[in-house]
Amino acid sequence: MLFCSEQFFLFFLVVFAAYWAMPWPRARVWWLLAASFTFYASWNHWLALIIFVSTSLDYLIGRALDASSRSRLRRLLVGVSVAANLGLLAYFKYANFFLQSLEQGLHAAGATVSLPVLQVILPIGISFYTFEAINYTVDVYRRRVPAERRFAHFLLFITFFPHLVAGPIVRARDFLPQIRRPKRWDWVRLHLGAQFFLLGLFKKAVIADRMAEFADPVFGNPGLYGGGATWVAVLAYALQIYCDFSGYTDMAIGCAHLLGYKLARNFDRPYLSANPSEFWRRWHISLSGWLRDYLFIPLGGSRGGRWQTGRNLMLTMTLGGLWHGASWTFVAWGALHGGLLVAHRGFRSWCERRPRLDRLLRTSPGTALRVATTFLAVCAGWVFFRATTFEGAALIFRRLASWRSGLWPDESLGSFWCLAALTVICQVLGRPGVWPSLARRLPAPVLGFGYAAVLMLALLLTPDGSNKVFIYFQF
Amino acid sequence: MSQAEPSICARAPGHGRAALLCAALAFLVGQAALGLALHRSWRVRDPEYGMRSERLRARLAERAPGRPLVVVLGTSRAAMGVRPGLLPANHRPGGPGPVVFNAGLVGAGSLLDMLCLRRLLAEGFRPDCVLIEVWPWSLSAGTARQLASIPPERLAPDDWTTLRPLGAEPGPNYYPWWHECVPCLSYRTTLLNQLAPSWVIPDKRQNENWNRLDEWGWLRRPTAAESRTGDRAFMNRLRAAYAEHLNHFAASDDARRTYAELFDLCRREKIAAALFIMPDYFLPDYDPASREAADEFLRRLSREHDLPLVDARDWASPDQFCEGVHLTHAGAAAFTERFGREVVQPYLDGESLSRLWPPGSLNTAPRRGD
Repeated sequence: MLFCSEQFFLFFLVVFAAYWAMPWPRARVWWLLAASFTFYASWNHWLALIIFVSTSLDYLIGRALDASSRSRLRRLLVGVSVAANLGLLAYFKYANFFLQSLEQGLHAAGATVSLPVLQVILPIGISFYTFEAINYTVDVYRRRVPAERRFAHFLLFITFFPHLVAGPIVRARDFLPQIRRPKRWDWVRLHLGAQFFLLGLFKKAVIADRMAEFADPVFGNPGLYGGGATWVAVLAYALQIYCDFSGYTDMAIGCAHLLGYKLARNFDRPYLSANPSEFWRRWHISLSGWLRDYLFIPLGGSRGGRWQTGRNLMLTMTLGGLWHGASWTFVAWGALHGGLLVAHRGFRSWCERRPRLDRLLRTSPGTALRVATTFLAVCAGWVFFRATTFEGAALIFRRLASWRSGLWPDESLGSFWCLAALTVICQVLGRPGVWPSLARRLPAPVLGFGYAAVLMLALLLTPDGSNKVFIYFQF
Repeated sequence: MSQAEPSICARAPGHGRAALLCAALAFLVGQAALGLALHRSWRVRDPEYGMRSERLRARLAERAPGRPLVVVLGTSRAAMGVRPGLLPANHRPGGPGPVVFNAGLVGAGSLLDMLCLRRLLAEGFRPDCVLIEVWPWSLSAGTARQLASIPPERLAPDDWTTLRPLGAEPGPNYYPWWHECVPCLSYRTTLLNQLAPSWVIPDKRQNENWNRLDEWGWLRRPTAAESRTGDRAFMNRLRAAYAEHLNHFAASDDARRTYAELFDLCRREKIAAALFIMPDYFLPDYDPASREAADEFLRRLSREHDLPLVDARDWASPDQFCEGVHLTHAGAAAFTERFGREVVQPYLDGESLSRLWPPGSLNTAPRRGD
């Protein structure tokens, strides 16, 4: 059940209406739980059972951690929880990848072995909910949050359907108190939720899926296309993945607001970042925050010397790349970003010793140059992210660097530039305070008519086909 | 829009409430207006049929009441191959004459032929004669397969009263009430095909099925201007792609049943009917047993329902096909000239088509002077 499908609209309408019609807070929690499991089971009933079992285990471990004061037992318990969650992730997501890589390695070494391929389905959203479960048990272990006593509340924290399958990755300390808090019908919050949902739907249906029409043919068969078409495809993919993922997140945040919950922010105009470090503070914020708190800092963070920090950054980003998908191209993507972060740290300290250059880079043209450079570096990373093989990625890079003529995409470039311009306008409106102050000044009927027009346009442009699956659902 | 706090996004609860209520109202009014347009106009719901129906009404308005109306039903081969605008009957000098109109639909089979005639009758058109193209390749498709090729949004609720008795049931994901409630979502492909076809994903683009439709229902596709049959490699690829059809003829019981219903409808409505087979480029390529089976099926269909059968499979030369299936513009002109002379005009002159094209036999020329 995708957020931009007829089934979800119907499902959400029923959940929303019944939720606010219920006068009892406890019944609302159970209603949301039932809705979340129905939502998840719409993909696969058995996978819903897996999430129930793993969540139950984390709940019990959390309670035991809270109750125990013996440090060895507590360490054992948190180890069991982390191992169980990562084991689940490793089995379902990475087992075949590791087996295939091992087989290829053995073949390269001259051995003739044939390792089995496991027949497993990847539980949708597993990367997200295992990270949420880990942050809970680790935080309970660190005594940063108390263990949740009510099983239903804990289950809802993990399975709350707006964030269940593609994030944002919520923290127990942010979400669990919200479940306990009584919810009241609030027009301001509903207005905000509707705005987020509409914005997300528009990004996904109008921009992302249209951009896929420019990117998919070229990435599918890069040998046929020339340099110009390849540049268009890479730029289109950069816009597609941003609008697809941030569009999904906006819809998730919107749905949550409509039900009286607030989810963590996940994007903050990332393509306007002036350096890779800023990019990761603005792109998939909930993941980069998780990687920082539960991987980078435990590894030592930036407390050691330059080399240790560089090593920690590389390790964190490479594992972050692997988190995205079971493929070496994702590992390369993560490593590239790790390298960019390390290079940026080096460049920054180099600039600090050259005040004139530093000042020059902080002027408006200097900032524009830094934003453009960062954007191009991020686009280079997207080539690894989108290409399924290194050969494909290398071919794309060769095409980007050449003026070789070839096919052009079937689609008219007019809509590409229109949508690119629309994305830029959205970024401008997204500057802090710009949209709220505009919305405040507009008369309510004008605003309402605008919302209706955006909704109708987004519904009209929702693609009728299989390509509407969200990119991050596969992770 | 940044992910701001609720308190800064709206000026007051009243403002947010008013904006949301206005949005809901505007959305509902928009959907109701669109729903009304879809209900009242075939042009919006099913532009391929709707544009033909509009053009037919316009042609009839130019004639005096009571003039004969001949309608051609069939697939894209008929839609692109029959050019009624070139028939002298449609331009009879000295006053209003008959109307010969092409109502062929792209991808049609027995099911869409049936729907098309039902819709025409429901709209008040009273054809005196229908010339039904039967394409042997389309006969293998059962009801479910034919239905799967018709986008559900093209079907009006009334269409299901025609389709259900033929064994056609909507798929599990088809909710008629939902389709009517949120038309801008349910009918998005149809609407976008009309408003902004370049925004439709390529394999759902249908606007070529009604763009450049002439005033007599002939579908003038620009890609059919030239013949590609001289390109041997291209034709060999096509031949390989069509091998299944050329080597294995199999008529489904569903197609037989739907045609029987269609012919019964014609009989009940006192509409003269005749069957015809469009020119076939691949005629020499058929497996002999397969061709004999197809011929026998057509002969039997014609004999059982006592309908004239016109075998026009060899009425066009290879260079008159654009890609082996459809006729070029010039090929369509030549075919129409002969079709008009040997089928349409004799009917309009009061001759018996059954005598010229006896039921139960495959004749490529009329029997004259018997």
